[in-house]
Order: sequence, then structure tokens, then C-alpha cells
Amino acid sequence: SAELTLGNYTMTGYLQAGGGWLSPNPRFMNRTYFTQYVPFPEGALGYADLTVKSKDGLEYAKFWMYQPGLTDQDYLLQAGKLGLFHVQIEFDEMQHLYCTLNPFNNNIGIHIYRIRASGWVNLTPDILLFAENQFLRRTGSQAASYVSGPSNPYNFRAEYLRPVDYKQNDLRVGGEYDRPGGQFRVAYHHSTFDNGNQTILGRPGVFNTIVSLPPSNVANYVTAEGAINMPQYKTRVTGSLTYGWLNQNDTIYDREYNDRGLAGLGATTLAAYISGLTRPNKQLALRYSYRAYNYENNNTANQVLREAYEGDEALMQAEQYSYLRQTVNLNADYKVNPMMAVNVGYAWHGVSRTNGQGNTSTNTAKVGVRLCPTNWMNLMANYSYSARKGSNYLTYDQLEEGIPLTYKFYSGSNTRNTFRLIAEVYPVKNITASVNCSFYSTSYHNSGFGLLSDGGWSAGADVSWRPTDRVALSLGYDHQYIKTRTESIDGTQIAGEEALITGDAGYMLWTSDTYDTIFFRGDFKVIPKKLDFTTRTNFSFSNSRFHNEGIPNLHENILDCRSFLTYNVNEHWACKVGYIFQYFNLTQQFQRIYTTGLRTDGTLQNDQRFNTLDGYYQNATAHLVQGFLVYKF
Amino acid sequence: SQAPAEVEGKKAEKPNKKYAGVEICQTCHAKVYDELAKTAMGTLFLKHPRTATEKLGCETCHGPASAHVASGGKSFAGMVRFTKGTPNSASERSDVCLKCHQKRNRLFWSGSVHSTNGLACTTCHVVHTGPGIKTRYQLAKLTVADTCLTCHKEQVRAEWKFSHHPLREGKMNCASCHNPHGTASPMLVKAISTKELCFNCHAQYRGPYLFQHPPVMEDCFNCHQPHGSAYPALLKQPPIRLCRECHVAFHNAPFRTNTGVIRTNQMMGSACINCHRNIHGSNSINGDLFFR
Repeated sequence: SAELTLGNYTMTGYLQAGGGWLSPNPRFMNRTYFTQYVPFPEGALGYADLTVKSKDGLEYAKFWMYQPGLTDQDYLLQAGKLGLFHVQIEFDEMQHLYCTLNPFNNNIGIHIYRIRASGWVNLTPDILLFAENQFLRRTGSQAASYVSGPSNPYNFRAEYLRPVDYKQNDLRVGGEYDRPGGQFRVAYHHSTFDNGNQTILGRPGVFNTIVSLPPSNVANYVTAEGAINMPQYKTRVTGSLTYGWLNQNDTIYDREYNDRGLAGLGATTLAAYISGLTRPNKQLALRYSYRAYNYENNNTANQVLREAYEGDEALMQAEQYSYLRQTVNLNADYKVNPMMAVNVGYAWHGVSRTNGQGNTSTNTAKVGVRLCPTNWMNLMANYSYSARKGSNYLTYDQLEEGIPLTYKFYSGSNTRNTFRLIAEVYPVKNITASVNCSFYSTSYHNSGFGLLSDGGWSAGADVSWRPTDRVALSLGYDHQYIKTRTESIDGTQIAGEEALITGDAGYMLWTSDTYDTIFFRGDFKVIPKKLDFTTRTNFSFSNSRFHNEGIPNLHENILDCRSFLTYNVNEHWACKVGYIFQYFNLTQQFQRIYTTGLRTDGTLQNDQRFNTLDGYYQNATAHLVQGFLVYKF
Repeated sequence: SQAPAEVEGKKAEKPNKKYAGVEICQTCHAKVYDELAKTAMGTLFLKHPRTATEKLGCETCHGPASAHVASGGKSFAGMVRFTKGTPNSASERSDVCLKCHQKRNRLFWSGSVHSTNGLACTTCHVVHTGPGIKTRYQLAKLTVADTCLTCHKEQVRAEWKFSHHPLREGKMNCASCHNPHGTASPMLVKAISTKELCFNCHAQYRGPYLFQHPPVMEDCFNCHQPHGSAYPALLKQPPIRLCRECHVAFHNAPFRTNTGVIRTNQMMGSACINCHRNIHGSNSINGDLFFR
């Protein structure tokens, strides 16, 4: 594009303005699924991408703008001098609409404002200072519910909208010292979350319905990390140490909105990491690392907390514990010849929890190969087998009343097989194809109940082809299958409850999901330098089966097609027209109950417990037409 | 890297006779020279070199080229080549870039999972060739997702599932959560743990709470699948099945009333979370079952 000269500066980039029109048909259709995060690009639409550079190319400033005035608008301003400093600030918005289908409210959701600023400066060739700040503001409402009564607590539940007025700010500052022999960095991260003090939650005036908000909290992290090159040992060692301390001091209320004092809760985290890479010779690379993450929760002495647990020592121990995670990784990678490399590895991962909440020790063996049999093919495959041993976690027979049953899901014993293959071929200059496939299978031994096995596989392929320099095509398909097996309790009396009938009308709860995604992309220079046509289509469909007549299966289809025709009038002006088609369809029997009120057995369901604000998105289609004028500098 | 002041105090090395000099490269590789000149690196190397190394221009990265010039372009002795089918290994190619780019996001590159799986910097980035020149960070493909798609199809395609982070809407990309160049934490996440990563945007769940829910305290991915899923709120399974992976004994198991009718409030919408609304933790004195 022809540059615009402004004294000692030149400007490049483009301005684009136009509009979009959303077809009202099909009529009376709520299309919130498409606007879940961003609005439809309809009405007046504008875009800008302008870069100003000094004649010597060292100083630059950039302005980027996306759809001003819409609820996903985005503005980015950057400036800097190459090798000396860089600063930028970005403001953007988005939304998160949770659902549309419920009798009371439409478009339950929140709006998110985001401001991100960052910058760095080279004080000297070896010393760099940096700072980043992200501010997030969330306003709107979320579905919430309260359960009334202590006496007969669980028989009545009602939904209402919880007001959301959250602010979160994350500031990171630091400095880095960089020499050819190594680097050293220190950084401080201060994070605050404020829940906006919406204190009264629940139906005002209705007895004991106060529900607590996510508490305001503050987190601080101090990090020191660095790396040393030791050429004499052909080794580079990197390390990192982070200490964090969290505080939460919200006012604690009970269900009748009596103030019970300040929380005064805290926790500390310590993350340590050291790793080394040694290359004794050109063929062999040895990688070794140790990582630890400790979460220290010392709140059991807190008076408000002890009062809350009302002497239920077992439940307090089960929820207020600390844990230490450690991982050791050893890996050797050997280049047999220019066409083949093999790697073998071993990893140990241990988690130890206080208060007798279970330890696990996982040993993993890995083997992998990389092949480049020809200069147009790359293959990579790796397989790993891991065995986890859980110890002293509460099993079902050691259950005491009131304790949530075992969380063996992440502390029981299991074995896991994982296989992954990636192949990339580019047989001729203008064709590239790649294939991925992966498989995993986990089985939870001597588990008794809960999750027993979890496995799946996925396979995907995509091909890109440039038949001529005026046409670029790519096509891809990806399939994924996930299956889990959970066993529920078998007719045993628990803590005075009535006898339980197993599972959803069965011992074993199978859940299987299949996901399929197809994408097509085409870029055509219809008339070189004059007329371009681009088209993109993504189609994804999923089927979730629960193998149980009590829970209906779930099918989802999402289609998104976008095509644009651009005519370049001259080197400055261009006009562009586009068509967007979106289709969403979720078929699930509950949605039918929800919209028609019919129970699975056909009778009408109309009591209050039926209504939940966490509804569904309505099935919808959308047609959009867009037109733009583009000025290029 | 050095501030673009003059090369103070550093005697400019007498050009070694092995080096041919950037002007000669231009004679055969004019198009590449022009493309390089448009990039930040090219502006410094070709117009404002700050060190003797940068002054070498193309030979800073490709190595001495006098043999290449003398043989009329046939010999590549002593040079590092980055094109497809190059004899130089991935680590040799990456070492060229790491001479200058080893700090900030690349501090942990050496020994990272990408570096030890045969990837080089030029697998994902371009220096002077291809459409990627105009992209931010000079990616080899036009978008971050396209760059990761070659090897991570399952994760990238998950952005088209029903429940997803706003990647396909352009409000996030893979680098919002991952640092592909290597990190001190698992899964290349940009935080000290996967849990702290989520708090970068969802600090409302950080607590600590009066009543903690252990799987939340340990790892968000015990229940959520961050890339995409068929169920609301990125859950790995519908709540009615997910909660049963640990809590096997609660409620009248088949969710039926005594007359056999399905208890819809326990199975519809958010199922268990219709009542146990504060499932991430409760700050209420009466929050032991996460109702309040």
C-alpha cells in the first residue's frame, strides 16, 4: 500500500467503514447462542489499523480499532523505539450471556470491560524493566438460588438473579538482567478482587435466604527466576521461585443476615522449579527438572471458621487441608541420524495432603520417536504409561457421617496409557497435510465406587493446497470420542437416609461424547490485484449419550459460514461485501420439557422446582449481510 | 539487545575475511532483503546496527557466507540454513535466535517441551519470508490458532464446541493462557499453576473460603475442560454425572420421587448446582453444603 508522508514520519495501514444487516427471519427467534460473547456485527461498523513510523524506521506508533460502539469494541494504542522501549494500552469489551430459555428472564448475563496496559524499557543493553496491568470489570446478573428453612431445609428452592458488580485488577512489575552467560529476573504480582459488596442476596423479606457472594480477596506473588549457561559442561540451568500469600477478609453472614465477624482467612503458596538441559554432543540432549507447588492453608485455628463448622472436626479436616505437589522429570533425546531421533523419559509426580486426606505417587515411563524419512515428511509419535498409587485416603468403608465421600477421583490408584502421533507431509511445494491422532485410557483400580474408568481417542487431518498462486484452499476434519464409567452406591443405607436405589436406574453410569469438527477455507484472487474472494466454513456437531432412560441424550450442531468479496478500485480505495450464515441446534429432551412443560412420561410439570434460571439457548439461524468501504494508506 | 546508540567503547571488529558482507547478499537475494528491511530486526540490522554482530546483517544469523559467494551459491559450508530439508538440526537453528532472544518470554525455552520435541523457532515464526511477516510476532501462519493447529488439532478445534472460551470470537487466543516458549509451570501455562492461571481472569473463585470444596482448592481442571465441551460452563461432564465421580451416595440415587417421577430440579439446568449454588466454596456461616 502507498505510504502517506507526514513530515519525518510515514503512515501505513487502512480505515474500513460500513454496515451490517441482520435478517429478521426466521421471525421471533432468540439468537443469543451466537451473541454469547460478542454481539452480531450489524448496524454501523468501523475498523482501523494505522501504523506511523519515523523515516529511519526506529520510532513507531500504532492504532488499532475494532467495531467502535458495539459491545465488543476494541481499541489498541502502541508506541515505542526499536530496542529501547515499548508501551501499549488496550481497552475492549465483551459479554457473557448464559441462557435465554426460561420463563422469567431473557439474556441473563454479564458485561465485561477490560483495560490492559503494558510496557518495557531497556535501561541499559543488559537491564530491562517491565510493567503490566489488567483491569476487569463485570456487571450484570447471574442465575442463583437459595434454599429456605432450617427445619425442612431442602424441599423448596427458588431461583433469582444474583447482581454482579465485580472488579479485578492484576498488576505485575519486574526487572530483568541479561548477559550472554545468563539471565536473571525478579517480578512482583499484586492481584485484587472486589465483589462490589452486594450484601443482601436472596429474596428480601423472605426468612433465612441470604446466600454469600464470592468473597473479595487479595493475592500477592513475588518471583525470582533466572538461567545460567555453562558451556564448559554444555549445559543450561534454569530456575524459578515464587512465594505467594492470599487474604480474604469479607464480612461473614448467616442465612438470617446476622453479621458474624470478618473472615480473616489466608493461605500461602510456594512454587519452585529447577531444570537443566545438557548436550554432551550433537546427538544427545539430556533434560532434567524438579518442580514443587505447596499450598498452605492454616485456617483451622480461625474462630469464625471453627464456629461455622460447629465442631464437625471431620468435615473441617476434610476441607481445610494443605497439599504439596512435586514432579521430577528425566528425559533423554538421541539423534540416531539426520532422519531419526528417539527419546525416553521417566517422571515421578507426588501429591501429599495433610489431615489424612490422601497421598498419591505416580510413576510414568515415556518413549517417543521423531522421523524425517524424506525432506517432505515429519513424523512424531510418543507413548507413556503411568501408574498412580493412592494411599491413606478415606475409602467408602472408613466413611464417617457427614464427610463427603472419598474424592478418589484425584487421590485413588489408577493406571493410564497415552499415545500420540503427529505427522506432517508436504510432498510437493504447494501441498501441506498434517495428521494427528491421540489415545488415552485411565482405569481406577480397587476404587469400588465413583469414577472407574475414563478414556478416549481423537484423530484429525487437514490439508492445504495452493494449485496456483491465485488460489489457496484448506480442508480439515477432527473427530474426538470420550467415554467415562462411574459406579454408584448399591442399595446401602447411608447415615440414616432411606435405602438408595443404585445409579440412575442402574449400577453403572456410562457417559460417552463424540465431537466432530469440519472446516473449509478458500482464498481466491479472482482478478489479480483487483478482485479477491475469501470464504470460511466451520461445522461442529456433538453427541452425548448417558446410556440411561432417566437422562435424555444431548446433540449439538453449530455451523458458521463467512464469505467476503473485495474489489480494489485503486491502490487506495476498495469495497467489500460479505455474507455470514450461522446455525445452532441443540436437541435434548430436557429442552423439550423446559419449553413445553412436559415430563419425560408426558405428564405436565408445573411446580416451582421445575423452573431454573440456568436455562438453555434457543435453537436459531442467522443471516447477515455486510458492506464496507476501505481506504488504504 | 542494546539501545540503538552508537557502539560505544566497543571497537568494531575488523570484518573477518570469512564474512562476505550484507551488500553482496542483496545482489542475489534482493526480494528477501526488501522483506527483511520492513521488519523490526531488519531495520536494526540493515540500517541501525548497535553491535558488531548486528552489523553483519544476514550473516548474523546465517553465519559466514564467503564460501557460499565464492561457489556462486552452491556451497553452504559453515552456514546455518532454515529452509525445509535443512541439514542443520532444530537446536542449531534455535541457538542462532537464542543468541539475542533468550530473555523475557523465552527464558525457559531450552529444555522446554517444544524445544526437546524437534521444534525450532522458525517452525512457528518467519524472519523475512511469507505472509506471516505482517502478523504480530511474525508467525509462520496468519493466526496463533493456525500456528498451533498443525500439532494440536484437538485443542484448537475445541473452540468450536458448544461451551468454549471466546477464542473463535477473537477475544482470546492460545497465547492468552500458554507461553509456547516454555515456563516453570506445567502445561506451559502463564502462571505458577493451572489453578493460578484461571485466577488471572476469574479471581472470584480464589477464596480462601470459609467452606472449601477440595477439588476446587486443588485444580480447576478436576471438573472443567478449559478448551471446550458439550456441557455448560466448560464442565467435563453434565453435573449429574460429574459430581457422581466422587459423591456416590447422596440423594435418592435415581433422582426419582416416591411416585417415580424424575426430580427435574436435580437433573435440569445446572442439576446439582441448582441447589448447591456456591459449589466453588461458601463464605456463609450456614454454607456447609454450599447452598449459601
